[in-house]
This record gives sequence, C-alpha cells and structure tokens, in this order.
Amino acid sequence: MRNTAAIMQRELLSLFCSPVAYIVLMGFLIATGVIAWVTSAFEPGAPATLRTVFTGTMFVLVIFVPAISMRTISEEYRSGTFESLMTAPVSDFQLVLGKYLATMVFYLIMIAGTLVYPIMMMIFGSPSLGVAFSGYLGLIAVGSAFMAVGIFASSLTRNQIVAWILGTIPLVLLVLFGQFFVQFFEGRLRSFFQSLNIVRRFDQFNRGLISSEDVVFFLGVTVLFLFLAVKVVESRRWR
Amino acid sequence: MIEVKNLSKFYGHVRAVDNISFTVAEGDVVGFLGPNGAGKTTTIRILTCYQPATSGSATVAGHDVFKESLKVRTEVGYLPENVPLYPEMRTREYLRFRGKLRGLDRPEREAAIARVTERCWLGDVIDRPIGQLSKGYRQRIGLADALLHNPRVLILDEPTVGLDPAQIRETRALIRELANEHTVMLSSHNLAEVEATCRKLVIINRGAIVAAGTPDELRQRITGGSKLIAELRGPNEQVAAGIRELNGVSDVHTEAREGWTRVTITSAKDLRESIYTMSTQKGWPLRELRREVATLEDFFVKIVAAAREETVTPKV
Amino acid sequence: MAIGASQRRVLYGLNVGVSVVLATVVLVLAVYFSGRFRTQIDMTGEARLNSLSERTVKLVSGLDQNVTITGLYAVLSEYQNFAQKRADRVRDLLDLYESDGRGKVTANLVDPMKNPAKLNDLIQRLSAKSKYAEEAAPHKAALEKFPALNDRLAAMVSEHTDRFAGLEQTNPALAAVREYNIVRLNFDDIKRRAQRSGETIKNSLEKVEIPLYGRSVQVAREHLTAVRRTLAGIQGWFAGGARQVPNIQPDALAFFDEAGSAITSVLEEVDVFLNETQDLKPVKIEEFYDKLKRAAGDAVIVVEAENEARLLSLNDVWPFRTDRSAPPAPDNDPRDFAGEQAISSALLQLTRKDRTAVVFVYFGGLSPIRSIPQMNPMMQQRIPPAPYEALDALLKKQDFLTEDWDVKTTKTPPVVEDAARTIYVVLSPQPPRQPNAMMPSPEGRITAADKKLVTDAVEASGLAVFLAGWAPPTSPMLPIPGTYEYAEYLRDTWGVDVQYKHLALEFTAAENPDLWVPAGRNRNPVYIGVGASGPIHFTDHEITQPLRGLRAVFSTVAPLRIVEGDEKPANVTVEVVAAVEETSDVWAFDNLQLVQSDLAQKRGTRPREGDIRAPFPVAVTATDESNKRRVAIFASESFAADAITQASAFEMRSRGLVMYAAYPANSDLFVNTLHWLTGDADRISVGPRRGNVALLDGLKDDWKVPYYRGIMVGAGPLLALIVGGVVWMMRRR
Ligand SMILES: Nc1ncnc2c1ncn2[C@@H]1O[C@H](COP(=O)(O)OP(=O)(O)O)[C@@H](O)[C@H]1O
Ligand SMILES: [Mg+2]
Repeated sequence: MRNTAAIMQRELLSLFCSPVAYIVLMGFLIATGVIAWVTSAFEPGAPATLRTVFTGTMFVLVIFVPAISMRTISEEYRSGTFESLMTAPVSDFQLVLGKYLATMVFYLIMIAGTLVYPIMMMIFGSPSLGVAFSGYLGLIAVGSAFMAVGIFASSLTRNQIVAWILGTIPLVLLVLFGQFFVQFFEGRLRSFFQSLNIVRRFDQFNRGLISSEDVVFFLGVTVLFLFLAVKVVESRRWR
Repeated sequence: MIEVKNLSKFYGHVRAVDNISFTVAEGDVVGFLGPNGAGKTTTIRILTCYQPATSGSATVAGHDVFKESLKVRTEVGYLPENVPLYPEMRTREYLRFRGKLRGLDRPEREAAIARVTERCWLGDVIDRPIGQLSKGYRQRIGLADALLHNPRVLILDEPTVGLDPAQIRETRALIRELANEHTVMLSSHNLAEVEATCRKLVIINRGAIVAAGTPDELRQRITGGSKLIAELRGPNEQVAAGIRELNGVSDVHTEAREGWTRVTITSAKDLRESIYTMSTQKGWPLRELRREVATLEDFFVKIVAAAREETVTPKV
Repeated sequence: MAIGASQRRVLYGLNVGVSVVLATVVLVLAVYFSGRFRTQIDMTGEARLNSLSERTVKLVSGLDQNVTITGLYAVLSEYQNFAQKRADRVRDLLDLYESDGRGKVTANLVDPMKNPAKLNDLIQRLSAKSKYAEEAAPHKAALEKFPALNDRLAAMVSEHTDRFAGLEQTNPALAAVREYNIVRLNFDDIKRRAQRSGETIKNSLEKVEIPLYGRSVQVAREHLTAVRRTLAGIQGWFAGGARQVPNIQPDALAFFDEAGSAITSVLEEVDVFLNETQDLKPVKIEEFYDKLKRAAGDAVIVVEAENEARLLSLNDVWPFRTDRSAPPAPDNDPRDFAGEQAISSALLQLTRKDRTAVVFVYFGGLSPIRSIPQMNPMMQQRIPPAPYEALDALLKKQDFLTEDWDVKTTKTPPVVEDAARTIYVVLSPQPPRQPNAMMPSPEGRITAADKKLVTDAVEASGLAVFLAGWAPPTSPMLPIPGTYEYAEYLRDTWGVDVQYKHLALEFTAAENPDLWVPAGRNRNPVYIGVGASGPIHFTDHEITQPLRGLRAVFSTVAPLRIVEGDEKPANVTVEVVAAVEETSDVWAFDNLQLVQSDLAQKRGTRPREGDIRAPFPVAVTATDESNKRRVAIFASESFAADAITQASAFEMRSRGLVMYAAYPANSDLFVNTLHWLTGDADRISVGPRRGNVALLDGLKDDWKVPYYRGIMVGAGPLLALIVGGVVWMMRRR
C-alpha cells in the first residue's frame, strides 16, 4: 500500500515537473474548447447540456489518454530506473497500480479543467446536474479504461512514441470500428459488437443513465489491462 | 550470505555467465573482478533478482533469488552499474521515495536520510535537482540509496567507474568503512581498487571464474611459477645447456645480444645462487641476475589481454 | 533449481496465458451478467428520459422473435432545432430498446437523405415479409392482362382516328358538328391517355425499388374508367345523334356502325378488367413505400417483426401536446414524445397473436360504430356520423377487432373470427323516441329476454364494459324518469348500484351556504372534469395510473354505489377507478324539474332530500374471483363518445394558435379499461414523456457572447500554461 502510494506520488511529481504534461493538459482543454465552440454548445438559447461536448471529448481522449500514460513504464525502461525499482522490494502489481493511480489523478485534473463549461452553463441556464454528473462519471470510466490500455502499451516498449502509438491504435479501432461494425450485423453478433461499442456505452452515461453493465464493462476493461500490464512487467522475472 | 551454484546465463546464444559457483560469507568483502563483458553485471543482476538465471541457483541471505525474490530484495542494497536516477527529482525527494519503497516510516526515513547524507557527503546537493549533478554525486546518491535501509548485503556494481581520483579514494575509503557493518560484494574491472578494498577476490572472465580467494592466496599461487632473468657473456648454446642442467629448471629461453646471452629461466625454485656459482665456475661474466615475481596485476592483465585477443581459453 | 530455463519459460508462459484467458472470460461473464441483471440509475431525475417503463422492459425482454426497429430521421439543417432534438431522442430510445432487448431487438437510426441505400434495404426487407410477399399477387395477375387491353384500345382508337380525315372529305358537313369534333378530340385524348397510362404503369412496375402493383392497378382502373365513360358517350352519339347530321353519306353511316361495334367489343374487355380488379385492396407494402419515400420530411419509425411491420408516423411518435396544465416546453416544441408508447404498442400488435374482439351492444337504431355511407350527396339531410366512429378507428389501430350487435334484430352474439376473446361494450338500450310527448310507449323497450341475451353473452365471455349513466326522462315534458335497464343485473351480479335516477351536476357553493349556482358562466354543469380541472380524481387503479395528469371529463354522470353487507354478491371485488372527491360542489339531483325551475329564476338551487352528495364513485371495476370474470362500469354513458374524445380546444401560444385535444384522457381511459379487462395491463399506454430540456436562456445574444466563449475555450489552457511555467521555474532551482 505504502509502495503503491510512493510510486504514485513519485510519478505525479515527475508528471507535473515535465512540460509534456502541461502541453497535454493545454492541448486537451483547447480541443474540448474548440469542440464546445464548433458544436455551438454555448449559444444563446441552445440546450444547456454538455452532451455534444462530451461525445467529442471521448474521441479526443483516444489521443490524449495514451499521451499521459505513454511514459509511465517505458520511461523507466529507457532510463534504467526500472532496474532500481525492480530490485527494491516492490511488487509488479504495486508498480502498475501506482502508475495507474498517478495517471488517473492527472487525468482527473485534466477533466476538471472542463468544469468551466458546466459552470458557465449554470450561470446562464439550469442544466441538469444529474446528467452532468453522470457525463463526468462516463468520462472517468472511459478514461480509466483507456488509461489501463495505455499503461499496458507502455509496459510493452521502452520507446514512449511507440507506446503512444500502441495505445492509440486499439482505442481508435475500438471507438471507430465498434460503432462501424455494429451496423452490419444482427442478433447475437450485433449484440456482441454492441457490447464492445464504447461510443454507445459512453453515450449511456452521457445522457444520464448509469447502468451497472457499463460500469462493470469499463471497470473490467481497466482491471483486465492493468492485469496484462502486470503480467508483462512480471514476465521479465522468468523470461 | 551469498551462495552461487552452477549459475549460467545465456542471452540467446551468447553465454554471459557460464556455470559459476562461489560463496560470500557473512561479513566478507568480496571483489568481483573481471574485464568488461566478463559477466559481472549479469551475475549481479541475477543476484539482485532483476533477471532470472538460465540455470543454476543462487541464494542471498538464505533466500533463493528466484523463488523468494521479495525477501532477497529487502535484504540487499544495490548500486546498479549506471546509477539510474530520476533527473527531475531532488536528491532528498529521491531518497525519501526510496526510503518509502524500503518500508521505512517517516522518522526512520528522515534519520536514515540524514545518516546517508553524511556518509556519502551529499549535504551540499541534498536539495538540488538530480539532473544537474555531476557523475560523482550521482554515484554517491546511488550509494546513499543502497545504504538507506541498512541492508545486510551490499552489492555494488562498479562503484567507482567514472569518478575522478580524489572521489575514487574517498569512495574506496567509504567502502572499507562499510565493510565493517555489511557483507559487501562489489564488482570492478580494476584490480587496484579491489585489492585496496576487498578481503576476497573472485576473478571472472568470459563468464567463467578464473580464480577466487584472498589476494595473498592468489599471489601465492601465481608466484609459484616465477622467472629468473640472467645475462651472461658466454656461448649461447653452452650457456643454455649449462643452465638446463641445474636442478629444478623447467624451461630455458636464450637470446643473443651483442656477445651477451640473455637467458630467461622458468623454475619452481630460486636458482639465483646456482647461476652465480655457475658463472664464476665457467668464467662467464654475469651482467644481470634478476628474479621476476609475478603480481596479481600481471595475472589479471594477462587475462584481460587474453580476453581482448579472444583466443586463449583461460585455465585455472 | 530443478528446472531449466526453457522449461521454466514454458511453464510460466502457459501460466500467464491461462490466467489472461481466465481474466478475459471473467470479464466477459461479468459484463454479460451485469447486463442480464442490470440495475441502472437514471440521472435525468423526474423526467426519467432514459428508462423504459417496466411494462416495456417486460415486453421487450420476453420477445419470442427478432425485431428490428428503424428510426428514419433526416436532419436537413442544424437550425432545424426540433429535427435534431427529435432524432436524438429517438436514437436514445432505440438504444434503450436495443439494450433491453437482449439480442432480440436491433435498433438503428437511419438518415434517409444521407443513406438512401439503407432505406432501400429496408423497403426490400419489408417486401420480403411473408405478410406482404403474396399480397400483390392478384394485382399482378390482373395487370398481366392490362398491356394487351391497353394496346388494343389504343389500336382501335388510332385506327378510327386515321379514318376521320377521309370521312370529312366525303361528308363536309361533319366538320361543323360540335359533337363530331368532341369525338375527334376524345379519340386523340384516349390515345394519349392510353400511352401515358401504359408508361406510368410500366414505370411504377420497373423503375422503382419494388414493383407497385397496387398503384398500377389503381392507375389502370382510373384510366379505364375514364375511357369507359368517354367511349360509352361516343358510342351513344354514333348510334343516335351522328345519324341526324344533315347530308350524311352511307360511308359515314357504315363507319359509325363499325366504330360502334368496335367500341362495344373493347368495352366488354374493359368491363371484364374493371370487374376483376374491383375488389382489389390497396397493397400495404406500397403504402409503406410511399410513406418511407416521403420520410425525408416526415419522421417515421418502422417496427419490423419477422412476418409483419408497422409504420409509426410523426404524429404517433410526437403527438401534439395535450396537457394544457403542464408548463409549455422550454424550446416551445408543441409536440410531446410518445415514442415508447408508439413502439411498444406496435411491438405488441406485431408479436401478440391473440386478438381481442370488442362488440358494441346496442338496442335498435343505427350502429354506434359504423356510419351509414352518404349514398347520395344531393340528399339534403346529412346522416350524422356514428357516435363511436373515431373510437372504433382508435381501437382498430390498437389491434382490436370491432363489431356491433343490435340485440333488437340479431338474437345471437356476433362471432368474430380470429378473436381469442370478446369484450362486450354494453351501451344503454335507448328508449325509443316518443312521437307523442305525452305518451310513453312501452313497446320498443328492451325485453327481459333480450336483456338476458346480453347478460348471458357477458357471462359467457366474462368481459364487459357497461356504459351506464343517468337515464333521461322518457318524455321531455313529464317527470317520468327513465330506466337504466341493466341496473338490476349490475346490482345483483356485480354489487354495483347505478343510481340512474340522479344526475350529478357541478355547482359552486354560493355565499349563502344553502344555495348552489352553476359553476362558471360558460360551464356546462353536466360536464364534470377530472383531476386538476375538476372534482373527479383517478385512483391508483392499474387502468388510471398512467393517466394521471391528463385531462378527462365525464358527462351526465349518475352516481354509483357499491353494494355492501348482505346484498353484496359473493366472490366479487369492486375497485374504484374514478370517484368524485369530497366536495360540496357536486350533487346528484333526483328531481331535475325543481333544479331547472330554480335556475330559471336565477336564484340558485339547494339540495333536497334524496339527492346524493359527493363523494361517490363514477367508474368501478368488478372482479368475480370465482370464475375470473371482470366488468367495468362507468357512470357516464357518453364519456368515450367521439363528441367528447374528439373535442378540441385552441390556445394562443407564442408560436401561434395551438390546437389540442380538450379531453385527452377519455379515450385512453376507455382503451386502458379494455386492456385491463383482458389482463394485458402491460398494454396500458404509458403516456407521452416530456423531457424538460433546459436552455441557456440566461445567455443573451449580444456582444458579450464572444467573450464568454473566449473564457470557455481559453481559460483552461491559459491556466495550464501559467501553472506549467511556474512549476518549471520552481523546479529549476
Ligand atoms: N541484455 C543483454 N542482451 C544480450 N547480451 C547481453 C546483455 N547484457 C549483457 N550481455 C552480454 O553478456 C556479456 C556479459 O555482460 P556483462 O555482464 O554486462 O559484463 P560486465 O558487467 O562484466 O562488463 C557481454 O558479452 C554482453 O555483451
Ligand atoms: Mg558491467
């Protein structure tokens, strides 16, 4: 527990000390801002809802979340600090969990940057706070799953850029093709693809529906990929 | 404290460590000596549970490095070869982080940091970002980190490489000091360093152990085959034949030089007196008579040279 | 170590492989079971926009066949506010259906403008459904004869047209004859028409996604009917008028004869065709086709089951707002969303095969549900439409089979084919109109035997709705009260006493506590409203649960009394559906003459001995537990009549005059009652939903907006930049 916290703290410190973090933060907020602008989410008389903004945000996350997670483990490999970490009494699970928690804290701060929109909307209208809440919950759930995929990708390579690409590709596939494939199937196959359809699952949150199935899905994906990352890190001990 | 049995490690088809065995007793200070690429780091990484061995086994502080990795890791303080550090952190932050990983709670941690700061002369840089520090300081931070939790076993991989002579002296002194409290295993490619700091030596070359023991023992073994060099004015063949007749000569090599004959004799015994007697008897003037004692240095240089040429297979 | 490196790798590699597979399986199972046993929280609060009603969930999760729901929405422009909103709402709803359908429901939203191929797929899919595949076969067979007939017609016409020129040369007088010229023109015209119709039919059979046989038959019939009429006229002139033309030559006369007989033989064939096609109904699939092709502007949802489909129109999915008491939608949308209601009822119709017959039982007079067609438009007096005609249409739409039964003329209940059960809607047997106001005529009243016919039928089916109510005096002049003929039966068998002699009126207590005056000046005291607009309230009964909040009205109410004590029939449970609440404003008066004279003197009236005071039930259901029979009894005979259910009201809104149904709950109450009787509580309509879309109405369109937007887009990044800079500066030292 202490180890996890220590690794998380250190990771956060490194994150906030590196310019990359601020570039990612800025880039993300600019991207969501532009989405809010072009979708006319903030027009006189427009519906006071963040739904379109959040839908766009989810696509943006495909790029930005792996950018947050890309350095977590790769950088340790590359700089050799992985050796001093792994020869200290730290379990692989603690390492991965610490990294995940740190990036999630950073992610939450990043998401918190978008609170400007609901606040502005609350000033000029009365958006449904329940829906906004579940939208944020959805962003957190999606971000958590994406982050786990990104950390898994980061555990595979010592090169950050490669880690970013490895993280982004499956997410792009999942986000675009999940939705795309669904159209071509019916019945069981369709519901299979539908259950992989992240856009749909996120949309459920986004419109104010917190369903156990979606929560379990995103949590499960998070756990699965963190588990995979642990296995990859662990494999070094017996390969 | 450390027991290595038939340890081998292959990187693909590269044999980095070849069936080595040695032990390090509690309280020992063992130098792991070998030229670059000998397999020191590989062995050490196996001992610190960073890598698995291909075959063989090793225990550290009584725990198997493969099966009880976590226990081994709590017992060992390890200074990796290149001293990987986080450049964006400050020294104190780094040590705190490591202290937490070592399971020290806050007061213990702060005390330990104060201790190692003093020990490793880090007072000046304790609040500086590590990225801005020189190699020497980084090395010391690494050492401080290894000492933080007062481990029973210290494993240092080339602790003085890249330091200036003054720093090297300081570091050696520190290691000698540490030897009183910890079991130390350090690796080096520098014989002098090992001789200066260690009580025992394990010489490794091309993955295999060439020699092991205290420096004196080793010296003893090496001195056994010492050489005599003599220069006599006499006919070449007669000189050679005469010397061969002496008791205990195993090999004679002669060389003519401007009327003088230079003889290199290999023998188990000290033959200086007999040669002098022979020269006066035969009336061959004696210009030089010298016994060349083999040093560890020679021995080691030979190994290194052999390693460079990559032709000789070392024999113990 | 006992094992070597390669063995170890295999061992550990397998271990990892197996654990990864296991973890994946666990994840899949977790997702699957959390889907099976889903709990969800709807964060939209009261509006519950994101939840299907329990009934729908039950319906959808228990489907026995695959169902496809396709929403067709084209959002032509982003400024089309409602279109976008509607498309979104429908998409969300379809998602809900799909996720509750557990693989049985496929739901798609298609933009027919952007994606015409999908629309075509849909049309093809529909036309392949077994219900529609063979539907057009007779049309197709009939059409096969048409081209030959049409060609023959054209040939006949053009052949004769060619001879007109020669005819005029030998008979110059013809050219001056008006009729002759008309004939010529008509021949040309027929030729043209024949060609045009031929082409139209060809096109609608070949150039479109599905051959439109029905449409083609219609075109052919219209064409041939017109031709028939024209040719018959021409033939008549050839036989008569043409012969009177002065100076007519024999060749012309021969032509007339020959042409006349040619026409006769063509017309014979035309008649055969017209007769054959006379009874052909429009083809359903073509109706779908038309609607779908027009879907670009008018949103529809297509609900497909395996063999059949239903098309929901914009009015089904987005009916006009009917609840006037609710605040207007923030975006001023005059329509409410009733998608769930529409889709679910379509699903029910498609998937439930046991249909219910609704038999309207009346005694003498005209059918309550079928109007007599206006035979002769010249007839001065219009026959009034049947009183339940609109209700009948509504019931048919809800998949009921309707029938009427005149007990006076037919002594056996009608047998409705395909019906699994029958509900009798028993209207009050109307007392015959009195030719002489002073003379009540006993004959014409329902006889005990006929009554028995009705009650036996009710007992046999076990399901009935009694539209009881105040019985008006048999004579307008004399205070001879009428009788509600089934009162006795209802009291003895069902434990509900219809106090038909009393008429409930809504008055307002005046200053003087003993005097009542009619409530409001324009208000008809006979109409007693429900809910917010009146003193009647719906109870928690299954029938009325979904109706609360909607407006309804009861007219000419007679109070009901639930029989208690010894007289109460065994095994019967009576539940109140609607009741007049406890108020001093409603009284049921016994002696109307007195009330009338009081009011005529403009002095208010006062209840007398024997008058019944609120509260009293006005609608009840009774269940006989022993044999599962159920009846519903309403104390207002006309509450479901078109005069009330179809009444509309107008209101000025910011968008202009808006029309809405005045009493939207009345017909729902009736339909829900039928559903309740058949035990299909899950068919009871859910009522439209209202998403309260909050708007940014505090934001005024002025110069400040760009600044606000700037803050929104810029504030976050700027903050990140500053914090980053500060941290960077701090960490350097
Ligand atoms: N990760 C590795 N992959 C492949 N070969 C390696 C690896 N690490 C070391 N080697 C090889 O193993 C041998 C021993 O290396 P090492 O233990 O680092 O030597 P030393 O530390 O004694 O200089 C060398 O020949 C080196 O090239
Ligand atoms: Mg090395």
